[in-house]
Amino acid sequence: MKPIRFYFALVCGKLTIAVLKLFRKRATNFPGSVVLTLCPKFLKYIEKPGKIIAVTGTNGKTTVSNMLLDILEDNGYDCTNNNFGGNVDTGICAALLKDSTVTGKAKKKYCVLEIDERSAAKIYPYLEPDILIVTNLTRDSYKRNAHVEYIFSILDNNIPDKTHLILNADDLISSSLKKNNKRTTFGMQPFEGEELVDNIVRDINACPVCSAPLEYSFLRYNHIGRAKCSVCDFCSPVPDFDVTSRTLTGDGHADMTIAHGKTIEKYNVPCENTINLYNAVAVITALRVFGLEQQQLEKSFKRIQVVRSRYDITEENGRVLRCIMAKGQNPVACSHSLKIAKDTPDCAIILLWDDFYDRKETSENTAWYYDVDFEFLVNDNIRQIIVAGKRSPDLLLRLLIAGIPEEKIKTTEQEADAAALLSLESIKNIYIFFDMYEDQYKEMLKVKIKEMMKNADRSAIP
Amino acid sequence: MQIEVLYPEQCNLFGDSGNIRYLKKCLPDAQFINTSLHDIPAFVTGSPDMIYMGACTESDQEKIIRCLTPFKNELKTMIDSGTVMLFTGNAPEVFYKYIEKDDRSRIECLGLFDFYTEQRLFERYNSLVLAEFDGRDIVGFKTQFTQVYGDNSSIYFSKVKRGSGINKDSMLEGIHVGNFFATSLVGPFLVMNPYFTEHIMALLGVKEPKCAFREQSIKAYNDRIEDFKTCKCVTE
Repeated sequence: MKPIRFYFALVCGKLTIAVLKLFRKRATNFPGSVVLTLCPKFLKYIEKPGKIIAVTGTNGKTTVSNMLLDILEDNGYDCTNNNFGGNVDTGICAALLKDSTVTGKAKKKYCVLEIDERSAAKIYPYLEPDILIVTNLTRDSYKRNAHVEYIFSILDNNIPDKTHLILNADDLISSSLKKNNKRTTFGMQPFEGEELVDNIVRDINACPVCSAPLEYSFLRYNHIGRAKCSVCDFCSPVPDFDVTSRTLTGDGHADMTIAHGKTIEKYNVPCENTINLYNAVAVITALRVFGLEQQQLEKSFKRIQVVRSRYDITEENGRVLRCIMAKGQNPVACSHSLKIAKDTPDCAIILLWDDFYDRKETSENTAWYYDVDFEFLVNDNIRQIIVAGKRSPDLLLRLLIAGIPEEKIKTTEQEADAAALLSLESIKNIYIFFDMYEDQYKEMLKVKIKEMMKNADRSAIP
Repeated sequence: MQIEVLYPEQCNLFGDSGNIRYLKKCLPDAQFINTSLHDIPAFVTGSPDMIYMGACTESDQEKIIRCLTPFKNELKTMIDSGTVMLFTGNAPEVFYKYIEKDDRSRIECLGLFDFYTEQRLFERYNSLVLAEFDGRDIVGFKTQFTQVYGDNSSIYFSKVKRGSGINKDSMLEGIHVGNFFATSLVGPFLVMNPYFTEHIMALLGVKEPKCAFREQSIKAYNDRIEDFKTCKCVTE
């Protein structure tokens, strides 16, 4: 028997959605906040779709959720989802509310949900995913997430026992979650010619069983790779879906060969960088477990695209501008961004990494700069670095400590002024690295720089 | 000059590795010794001029307590003899009497100072701190699960102007005894506090110390002080 307050919350939530629609407002967490205020256990009482696939982890949640949803829909599965952006309890409630009847019954049979790892204790007691992908666990915002071990314990204590886990075998931390749950793992062997990266940050250095040093057979980035303990028998699991080769096809796609038991599966996936290849193999693994055939996945991959909102490219008059978003205060994601620029020839970089919200209320904790690999930028090909934002004096200092010559760096506390500091002479490639809440400044700079590229001397391109 | 960095593989949370990276730029001729969990510390086999340890996870903290317990007499001797020692984040808690966990169980620590720690894993405490040490402002951040209790009124490290001290109700931050400095401030503490870094350099025998990238560091420091004085929200 469901309490009256649940039905009251349900009606109010539905009315909220109707009012938002009437005023043509975008779907948000707001209806979820309304129902949870009126009925704190709303998630317990609302009926869930019959089959739930969920995605959690530090990096890649959104990309994996979108890819899952696109492929499932391409194969005729109509899914409830929260791809409007709410991955905490309010967002989950808003998604379920939107696709429920006035009596709280689920309208759809399937569901794809991105779930914030920190919110596990509020969600999993009431919502039991059939399949849960954990992309990876690396350090994230210190203020909110503390450290990886803390997030691991939250997930380990709250993921339901019956959930089938899809785990990254190359991540010694997340692959150790919920030892007794049914699990299927994915991984990628080192590829021919692949540049493996030694980052500042490695979130696991010693064996979690006996504390002895770990011996890595390869380390792809941060702590992602394969290792065994130098003393006891702790080691990386053998992936059930193991990418044995990948060939970049030059059109933003890659051909991947996956060993799965005794069979070999081949896919052409719409991405090429390491992070997105991990995302793609996580999706393949989950959907093969879900029951899709290899051929269905192959066909769907030809029709879908990886969302480009986090990465866009503009070419103009012989020069290329790339805008890359990374979650600020997330040193692993920001290091990935810098690695992209590391070997790009004749390159200028604009950094917009201030935390917009921290700046409004308090003073941003910039400790995370010291876990980001700014050392990647100590290269002759990086000709200019422009740092824009209130924290530019702190970032300047960090860049100097990394070993970047001061004459290459220009700073301004006003984001909008960054374009005026850019010189296109001897520059072919420009990157804007921006925090997700600095989007408006990125757009402003993009327009200005595009105009500069249009009017610039083409012969000054090396 | 020898500087021993205790357990850098574990004690590198919240940007604390930035302290040593900066110190290497400030003291280019110094020798830095990294001690791992399975090593015998350099302060046992030799006599480094400085010892540093940063923040780590709660489980690593317990391992470190186990590793250092056999050497607590040596550490006491180093403190008494004036070796420069800097402990940041939750590293100082290792030196106190015990850590009380959520379930009220206790982890016995080295017991070198008469303080204890309450660890509450569901009460993350974030705060900025503007304080004063030796007539200069100190700026830094706290991001922690712990509060420390005990009387540090005669041995505090800095007097807090905004933020909090060893616990939410205290305005006296950390411990300073001789050349032993313990602070719960995290991140690039030395980078953020150029005058304190020069104080440490002077204690290490550097004449007329000048920290690396001094001009830029002081500009960032002064900006931060202004920010800390005026920002709306101090504690989250």
